[in-house]
Amino acid sequence: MIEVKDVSQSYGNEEILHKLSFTIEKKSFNVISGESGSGKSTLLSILSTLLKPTYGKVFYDGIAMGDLGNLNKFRNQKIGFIFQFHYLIAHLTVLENILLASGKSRDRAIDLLKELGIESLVNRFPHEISGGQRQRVAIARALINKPQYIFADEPTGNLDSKNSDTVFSLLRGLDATVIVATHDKNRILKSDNIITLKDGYLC
Amino acid sequence: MLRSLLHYHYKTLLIVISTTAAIVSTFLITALSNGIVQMYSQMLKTDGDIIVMQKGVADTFFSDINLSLSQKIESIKGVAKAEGVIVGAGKISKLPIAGIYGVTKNRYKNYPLSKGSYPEKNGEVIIGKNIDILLKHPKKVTIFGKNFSVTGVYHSDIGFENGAVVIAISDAQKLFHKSASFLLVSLEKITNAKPIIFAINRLKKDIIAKSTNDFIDNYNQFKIIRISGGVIASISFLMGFLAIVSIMSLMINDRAFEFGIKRALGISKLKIVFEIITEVLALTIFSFILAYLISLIALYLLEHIKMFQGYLSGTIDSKLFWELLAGSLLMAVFGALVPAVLASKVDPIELINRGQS
Repeated sequence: MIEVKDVSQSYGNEEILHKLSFTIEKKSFNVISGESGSGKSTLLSILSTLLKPTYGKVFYDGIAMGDLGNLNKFRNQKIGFIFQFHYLIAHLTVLENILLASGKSRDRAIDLLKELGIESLVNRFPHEISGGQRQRVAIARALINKPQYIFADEPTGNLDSKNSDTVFSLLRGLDATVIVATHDKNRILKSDNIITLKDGYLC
Repeated sequence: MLRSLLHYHYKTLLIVISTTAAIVSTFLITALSNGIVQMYSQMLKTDGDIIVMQKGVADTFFSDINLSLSQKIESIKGVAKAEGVIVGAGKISKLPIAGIYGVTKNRYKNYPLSKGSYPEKNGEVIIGKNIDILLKHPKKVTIFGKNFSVTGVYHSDIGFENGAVVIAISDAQKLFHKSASFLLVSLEKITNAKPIIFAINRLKKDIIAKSTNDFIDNYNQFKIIRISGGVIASISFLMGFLAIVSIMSLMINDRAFEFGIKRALGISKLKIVFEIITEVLALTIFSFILAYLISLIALYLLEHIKMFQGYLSGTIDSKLFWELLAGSLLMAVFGALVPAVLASKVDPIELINRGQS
């Protein structure tokens, strides 16, 4: 479970998020929605420990972010990321990209690629595969360490509707707490929990 | 690692070129300055145990000492022989400058002949093998406008002696207007040196006697060569260091996105710093091996270019090799450390955004 208490975020004098409080249940599928510039990506960065809030606290199963100890280790073992752009490293193969955060799980990587239907791409480079395939590789990379929490920032922003459907159905089927930031209204309806932001406020 | 270096091949190549150039120049400058010092040291060491020269002059070239002093020195107990030498340089035939050694008759044998015979009378000269080649086997040479007959050609193991001529000291006295530059004293036993040096120094107030080893250790020209060589080598090394820092900064900026992703995936700052330093160390080791091979080839060529008359000679000894390897690796670590630490400190989101922009 993730508990957000009075979280605010400022850059200089500008406050981006204003005293947000909400709870995300374990193994639920959650959507953070809102227009561009509403603060979705900033909130996602805070929830995923990439950004420390200027004010307020975030608890993970009752433990405050500041008390988690080594955040790198926490991120590596408990969190999986899927970005709007696939963010695969160009000079690494599909397999090497997946193993970037976990060098010893080759079999797991192959299993994931099979599950995602892209096992034949194992030795290809990112520029040799399609946009939809790249995003599936990014999903495999996010899942390699069997994380408790999956964060996805506009994961289908660069995909056509067919590939978008595939990615969302994959995300919904995951055995983890999934938090997706999107402004795609068609996707919002099929979630367990919707967190809607407008100008940094919860609606 | 290799793949990421090849991916950024242009910047990788720049690092290799700048590091190799810095190491090659350091190798060459140090080896050549050491070579010059070693050649002259070897000449003095093999020719005598004690050197006697004029007191208070900076260089043997400027020293003027009375040759008759050699007879008084030879009368000191424990002295085997004392020989006078005049060292100078000047125009020889069409060569703008070459070494000129004026020696007493008993020193001719220090210059082993490859052809001909030693001079018998004034006006005769033996020439080094490089001079013989450069002047195309001359029968006569002119020194300061005076003609000398060539009686033989010598070959010395000390490279720059081959780019010189050897004449009778009486001829040299007329050319350089001095009695002798210095006296070289050979002892019956080297262990007797201290009391003999003391006895020689008591003969005249305006002379100074030193063991050749002491002389070499304190010779101003050697100090100047070593210091100048050290300064130039340090500057070129610093240039290499600055090149690594600046190119690595550019490369890290190019790879901001990659490091941002790694940070977001939970790879620690330390691991990222370690990865960058490992890459630079690998490049430096490659550059070092390349630089060592280039330096060996360059030193071989320099030693065999006729124009330099054997004056440019240098070897890379194990001390220089290991010192420069250690220095290069330190240069790589410190050169990469600053940009690597800066990159690892930046927020992953900022790195990703910077890399995408």
